[in-house]
Formats: sequence, C-alpha cells, structure tokens
Amino acid sequence: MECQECGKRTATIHLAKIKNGNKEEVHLCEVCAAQKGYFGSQMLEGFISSFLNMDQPLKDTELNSLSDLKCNLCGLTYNELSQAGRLGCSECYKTFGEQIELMLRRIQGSAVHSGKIALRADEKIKIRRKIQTLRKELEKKVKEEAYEEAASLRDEIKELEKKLD
Amino acid sequence: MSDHQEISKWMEGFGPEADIVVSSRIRLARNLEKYPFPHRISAEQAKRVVEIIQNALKHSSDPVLEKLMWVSLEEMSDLDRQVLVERHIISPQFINSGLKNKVILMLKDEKISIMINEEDHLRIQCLFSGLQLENAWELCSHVDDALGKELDIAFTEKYGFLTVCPTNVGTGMRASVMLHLPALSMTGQTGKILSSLSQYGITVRGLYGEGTESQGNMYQVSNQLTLGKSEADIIQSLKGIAQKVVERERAVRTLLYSKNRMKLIDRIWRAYGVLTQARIISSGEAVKLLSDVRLGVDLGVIPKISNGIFNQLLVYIQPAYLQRINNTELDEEERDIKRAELIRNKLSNVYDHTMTAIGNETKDKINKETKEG
Ligand SMILES: [Zn+2]
Ligand SMILES: [Zn+2]
Repeated sequence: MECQECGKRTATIHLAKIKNGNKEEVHLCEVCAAQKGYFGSQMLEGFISSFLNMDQPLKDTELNSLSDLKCNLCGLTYNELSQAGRLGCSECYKTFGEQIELMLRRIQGSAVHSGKIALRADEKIKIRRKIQTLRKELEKKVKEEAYEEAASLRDEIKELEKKLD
Repeated sequence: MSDHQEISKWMEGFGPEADIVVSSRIRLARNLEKYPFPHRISAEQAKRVVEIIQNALKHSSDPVLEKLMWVSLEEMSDLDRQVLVERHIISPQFINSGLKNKVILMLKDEKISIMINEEDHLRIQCLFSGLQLENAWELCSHVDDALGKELDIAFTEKYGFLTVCPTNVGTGMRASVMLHLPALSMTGQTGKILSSLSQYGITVRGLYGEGTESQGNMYQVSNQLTLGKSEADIIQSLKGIAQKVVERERAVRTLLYSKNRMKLIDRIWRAYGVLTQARIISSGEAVKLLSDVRLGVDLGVIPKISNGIFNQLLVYIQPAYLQRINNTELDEEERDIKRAELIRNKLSNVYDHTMTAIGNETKDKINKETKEG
C-alpha cells in the first residue's frame, strides 16, 4: 500500500482515527507520519482532543490481531481502549504494552517515569536488581567451576525470588 | 461528619502570596494491584478495595493516618456531599459517578482528604492556603508512603504509578494553584496569558476543576504532564510560572491604579456598597463583587479585610453550604436572601473592627483621591 500523503513510499503506519463515532483510516509512510507529528512531543497543545480521536499507529501485521487483544484481569478489549482511552486495571499496561507506550509518548512526550518509587515496589525493584547481580556472579562461578559457591548463590536467588511472589 | 461551620485550613488565607494565590493543592492518583480500576470493577470487588484500605489504616501506626476520619459517601445526605464539593474536599465527579463503595477519608482541618473509588482507587489530596506547593507535596507524599507501606500499589519501574487515564500515569500527581486575577481579567489579558502557558505544560481551569468556568476571576493553574519529570521538578516549574503570573497581575494592578484610579476606586466601593447593603443576591453576582472588593483591599482602597474572610465567603455563599448552615432546604430566592444576609454580616463585622483601625494613610489617600477627582 502506498503512503496517501506522498504517494511514493510504502505505507507502514496505519492510523485508525475515531472521529464523531466514525472510523477513519489513514495510511502513511514513516517519514510523513513523523512530519505529521504522530510521534514525539510536539502535540502538547490540544492533546486531550487529539487523544480522544485516538490516532493509533499500527503496524501492518498487527492491524488484525490487535482487535482480538483482551485484558485477562479486567476484560478490557483493544477497541474499548481505543474508544475511551482509559485503562481498566494495572494488568492492561502489560496486555496493551505497545499501544500504551505510543499513547504515553504522544500524550506525555515521554514514557519513562523519573519520579518517586512506590514504597513496596521499591523493595521489589531492589530485589530484582539484587537477583540480576547474583545471576551474573553465578555464571562466573559456574565458568570457574566453583560449584559449591555457585550452589549457594543459586539458593540465595531462589530465596529472593520467593519474596517477589 | 465534620462540623461544616469550621474553617478549613486552606481558607485561613495565610502563606506566601496569599493575597493572590488563594490555595495550593497536590493530588496523587494511586491504584491497587490485582483489582480492576473503579470504572470496571464489580460492586463486590469495590467493597473489597475499601476493606483492604480500611485494614491498612488499622494496621498502620502512622500518626497522620491515625487522625483521618472515615466517611462513607453513601451514608451522607446529598446536601452534605455537595457541601464537601463546595469546600474543595471532593470532586464533583466523585459524587456524580454511578459507582458504589465510595469513601472519604479526611483530617478535621481538611488539609488532607482521600477519595476511595473515585476515578482511581485512591486520590490523595492536600490543600494549603497561599503558595505552599512544597509543603502540600511533603504532606501528601508522607501520606502516600504511609499507605504504600501497607498496600500493594500498582507501579512499574518504567511507567511509575499506573492510573485509569494515561494523562495521570507516572507521578500520578496534579499540582495546582488557585489564582485571583482581577486586573488581568479587567484588561482582557487572562485568555492570552493563560493559554500561552500550555507550551510549558500548564493547564488552566475554573474554580471547581475540570470543565468548570472561571468565577470571580479565580483560575486554577496546574501541571498537564505527569510522566518523565520528577515531582520536585514539576512543582518547581509550576511555582515559577505561578510567581510570574502573580508578578504580572501586580504590575497590571499598579498600572490600572495609576491610569484609571477614580474609575477603579468607584468600581471597588460600588461593589462594597452592594455587598454590604443588598437584600437579595445571586452567587454569580456575589462572587463577581467579592472579587472587586478583594482587589480593593489589596490596593489599600478599602480597609483591611483578611484574605481568610474572602476565602471563607467563596465557600459560604454556595447553595449547599447556605442550606447546611440554615439547617433547611432553601429555594433559589430564599438562598439569595440568606446569602445577602450572610455577606452583610461577614463584611460589616469586619468593618466595625477595622474602621477604627484604618491607618491615616488610607484615609488621606481616599480623601486626596476624592478631591483630585
Ligand atoms: Zn509518505
Ligand atoms: Zn485490565
């Protein structure tokens, strides 16, 4: 499919706009999509209204499978997310990971948190980081054939992993 | 239920820039892991969310959490709910949403209020008078941590705090200041200035938040973005912008006062005259005239009436509050009569106390200006 803006390059970005209840499709190449500001943070002003219109960039292969996506915990579907622009539960952030990433980049101009860390999550994050370093150490010990030390490291990792559940 | 005749902390009118910055607010959106958000939750699960939070409070030994009062919204009368909205303790959306199991937690002085099962599971709010965003943040963050110790809050390393609306993700924080901008309004500058703030990630709303219009030249200015910057950075930038707007407001006041002095003084005293003499007054008219009088006090045209009186009146003249203090339902005309009475009392009490204490400076100023015409 050709890009409907330049008519030259292949359209790889497909936008399903929902305007006044009607679905409107836009097919663009990456260059034209970027020029139209579908990525990046230049859409601060009036972002709410553009957000409600839900210009949702999709890749060719994803176009069909996306509409089948559904959150396991709360049952929110991809279409419901597109139309209301609201998440149904914390699991939705995993289920619709890629869409949310794009949504956040457009709405917030960023998708990386740099504020405070939840108190309990803080412990978990610390544990995860600890596990990461222990795993590296474990690999090293295995390579060195220091099996006794490796075994105790493995136990330590298992203990920590229990805390994450 | 708290006694509604008490003055909440934010109404006292103290703090930096309290003549123009009426109040500072920090609001944090938080959710529990493993439970659907309020708009997708079953009544049963919503009840469970309430229980979990209730247990967390019981379990916590935090001195601030211990002082919170627990009020179920369902057990309140419509009037009492409306009063809390008028006092800025809860949002209009909170009482209007069709959800059940809605609970309010608050401190007696209303400096902290927490809504359970609003748009998110938890909305923690701290409200201070004047420009005190840092203090409000400190308290709000303390409450957040105290709750976070007991609860599994939905959070990821990458996105931060997870919320219903993507516009709240990250810090989950909305910081806002309520500004009284009569001079900028009179000179038609508010629209331009306030809309230009959007390029700094700042939005402007009316007196009662989202979708409400400005009343009495009050504007609520807040951060638009919640992801990518730290809370401290967001607060610093909002504070800086608020200070710039306040500076501008002061400059235009000075200009108005020097260029259109007699016209301005006339307008202020007329407003004062109506407010102290009227027998029937709508809330729209009252709010407008109170703005003029407040400006008059700030300019030294009218003897000192405390910021607190104006802040209180903003709430006390609202429909639900008027009915609450009169302990009866009132139709519109009756409310307009009671409102006029209340304003007359509030302002004339002040007048009695302060008239004797007017500085000669002010008297001279007034006399001189009257002569100069
Ligand atoms: Zn193109
Ligand atoms: Zn979900």
